Amino acid sequence: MSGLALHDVLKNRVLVTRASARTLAPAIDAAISDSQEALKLDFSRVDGITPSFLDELLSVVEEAFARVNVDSFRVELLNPPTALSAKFAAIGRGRDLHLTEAAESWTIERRGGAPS
Amino acid sequence: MRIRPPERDFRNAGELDPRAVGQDPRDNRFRESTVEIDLRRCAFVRPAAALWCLTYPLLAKRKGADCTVLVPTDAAASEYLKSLKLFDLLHDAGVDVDARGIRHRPAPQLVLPLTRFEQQDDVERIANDVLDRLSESGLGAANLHPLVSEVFAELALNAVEHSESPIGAFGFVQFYEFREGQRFLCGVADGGIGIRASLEKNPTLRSRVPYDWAAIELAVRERVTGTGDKTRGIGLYGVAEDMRKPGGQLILHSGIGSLMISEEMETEAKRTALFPGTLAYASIPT
Repeated sequence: MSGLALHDVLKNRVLVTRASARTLAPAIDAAISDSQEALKLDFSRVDGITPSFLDELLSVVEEAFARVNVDSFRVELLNPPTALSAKFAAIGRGRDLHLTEAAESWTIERRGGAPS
Repeated sequence: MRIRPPERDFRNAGELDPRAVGQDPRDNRFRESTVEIDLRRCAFVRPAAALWCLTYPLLAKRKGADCTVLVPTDAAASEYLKSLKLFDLLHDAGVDVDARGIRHRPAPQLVLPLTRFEQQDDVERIANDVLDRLSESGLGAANLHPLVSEVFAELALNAVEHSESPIGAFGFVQFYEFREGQRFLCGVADGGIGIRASLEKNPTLRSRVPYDWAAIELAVRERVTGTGDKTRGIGLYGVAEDMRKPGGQLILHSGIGSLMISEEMETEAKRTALFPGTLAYASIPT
């Protein structure tokens, strides 16, 4: 699975608003139902993201997994445009998500079900 | 009322006499019938100061005052403000500006002249325009272009989402060659309720923001937001974190409080002259 290419849907190099992240919901729903593997979101050709965009994107992902009754999940962000800095890590903490960074990707995990 | 900024180099509203600009044009008690901002003796007006020169008269105009901005007699200073589009925006809002004879000076370093926006969609479009223009311009280090666009976008989103500004918000992005080195500057200003009133909407914060300066100090911390949503409050914190990297600088001026953040220090927020709304100004070394 190559992942959902965000630029193909949003057509922008900088992903800024919560509304933009929200427009990805149908594609994320489809990607989750089509595959048993981890959800992969590909940021190729995206050069920048704001915390607002990422926070809403994670909200969309949480809602999509909740719709299929999945409590624990793993998402791979391929080719992220920037390093996993303190501000992005803070977004994960606020949602009880565990974010880690590898060479060309970030991994976002919810372990052991949704937060109370 | 007549307001005379510093003559040599007008950097920001904090340099104004607090008594001269003490009347808040957002306030229903604002009673001035005329407002005259006299820039004639200014040898240079920096973009953060230009944002005050735009915000104050636009708000005063809405309160029924006749507003005039007297342009600098210095040709270079006037040409810069013209290229920044300050005079056009003032004129369009009904502020009297006699800008006759000021030459148009090409300003390739001005990536985004003063631009008005009021919705999130505007911010997304402008941030992408900024990145495209930076890529085409070749100004500064290319690897910093996305950061410049992101910082502008986050500051602009804050203004759109939280300011409730009756005049919208305004922003600019500029490449600057200082004696100490090259920098990208980006600034956003609004004529809205200010950071303190925004945070006061969250009942858990109300007692912690008795003054503008206290509110600004709180606003740059992680997950502090007027919305009360526990996942929000990362945007301004994130910009502050970015500006704590070597050479970065962030200035926030809201109401009568201001705060400067840089790598070396986070100064204690201080009382200063009024900015009727909020100004955020980031400086990124390249």
